Amino acid sequence: MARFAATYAPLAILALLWELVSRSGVVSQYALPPLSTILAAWGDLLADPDYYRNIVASVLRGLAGLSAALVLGIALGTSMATWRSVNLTIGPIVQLFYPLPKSALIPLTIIWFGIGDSSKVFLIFLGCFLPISTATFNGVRGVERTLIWSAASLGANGWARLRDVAVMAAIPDILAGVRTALALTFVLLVSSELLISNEGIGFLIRIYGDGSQYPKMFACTFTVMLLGFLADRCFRRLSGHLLRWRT
Amino acid sequence: MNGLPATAAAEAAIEISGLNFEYETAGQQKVRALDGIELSIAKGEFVSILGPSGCGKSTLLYIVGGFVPFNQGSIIVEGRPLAGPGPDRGVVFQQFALFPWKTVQQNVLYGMEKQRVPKAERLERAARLIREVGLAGFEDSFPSQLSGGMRQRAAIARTLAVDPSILLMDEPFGALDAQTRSIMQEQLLEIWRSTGKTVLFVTHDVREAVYLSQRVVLMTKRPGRIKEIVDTDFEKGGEFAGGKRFDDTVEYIWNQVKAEIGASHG
Repeated sequence: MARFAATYAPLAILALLWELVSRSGVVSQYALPPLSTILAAWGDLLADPDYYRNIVASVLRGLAGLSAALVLGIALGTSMATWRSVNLTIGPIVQLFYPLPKSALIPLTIIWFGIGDSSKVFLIFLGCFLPISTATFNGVRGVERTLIWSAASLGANGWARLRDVAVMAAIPDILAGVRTALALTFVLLVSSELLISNEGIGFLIRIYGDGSQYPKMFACTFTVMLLGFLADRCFRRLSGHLLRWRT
Repeated sequence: MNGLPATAAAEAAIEISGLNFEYETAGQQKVRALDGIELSIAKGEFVSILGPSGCGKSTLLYIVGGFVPFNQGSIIVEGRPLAGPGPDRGVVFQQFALFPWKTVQQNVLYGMEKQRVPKAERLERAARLIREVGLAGFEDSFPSQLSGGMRQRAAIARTLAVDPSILLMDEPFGALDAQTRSIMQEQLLEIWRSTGKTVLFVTHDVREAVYLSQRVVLMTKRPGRIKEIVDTDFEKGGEFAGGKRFDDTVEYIWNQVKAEIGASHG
């Protein structure tokens, strides 16, 4: 109970301050609507099927891009760590593209894939692919050789050694990469939807902003925050489960 | 005891001849780690390899394991030229090398899964081995939850699960405390006697080598050559109560090793 209070007291104080500042007229209510107004607007949205449709669209885009990056990133990272030739060929390309902010590619993805789902999924995939493949590469490279040798002497073939040992041993590193990728997913998802799209939570933020419906715009921003919070919780659950063998 | 040195090739578990091994350092210099190794190990024999650190004794074991490719020479394992790692040669490492994300039982099951042993038999054999190495009740523990001795017992059970005819052991008790080590040595001897497996055992501990094995292969400092092979196949009362012949042999070998360490500083 005390812990509950300690966790949520700062949030309550922040909410109270927000309400007071907005109501007192220190700042314009357009710029910062009172929290109670925002919550009321959020209540309206919750009764609107369109709101859910847009959330689902965004979540599916995020999941699709992240999953594709996960599968291909682990495959590339493992290959680069295993075969020198792959590393020599792909390594420089990875290093070149790693520092590029992927949001700079938004216009290009629009030209290639249009304003619908594919441009967003592709952008998220691009953004998440490199952190995941780099983390996998480092993890697989660091696998103790005696683990691989043990598997070999127990009868595991090359493929089984990669799948059962190299990738499994790299899971702590891969998860660190996924954590970065998860944050990037939200950044890229919302920014690409804000710029050009026809649905999604970022799209809602934009049209409510353009239409001067600021309480609803704020409510949608809160929605993104909540989604991010939930995603982080899921990630922690998953990583706690996958790393349960560590004490 | 039955472990006389091999006389006929058909009797040999491992035949190493003219083995050289070189590796390249980061500065692209060639370093010869093993030079002209000739060694024949009979089926069912217990042989230790002893030498100063850096003499290449572990490398020799890794080569026989098929993990490290060699440059020159030939190695015949049970009548067939060595070709990579395989379940005929089980390996036990000093740092256990258990799969940390698998439980004790899953570790022991892994090799049998790869060998496509039927499920019922897998589970039955795993349960028996875990019991035999004294880990009953720890089937679902992860390696991180076990002591060093328990981890090494789990690793031995994992190796025995695929029933290799040869055991390659790389300082397997080097990371254990004295009591655990002595218990493990007794268990290993018991396993060896009851299964008749061939054991190639790398150690830097002279008493351990003399106590456990029938022959001790002494190696020189780098480049590792075989300096001498000492017959240690006599009755021993125990590692620390081995009798006069035991003590004399230990002292003799120890002097040889000291001479090598001295030579490397000379």
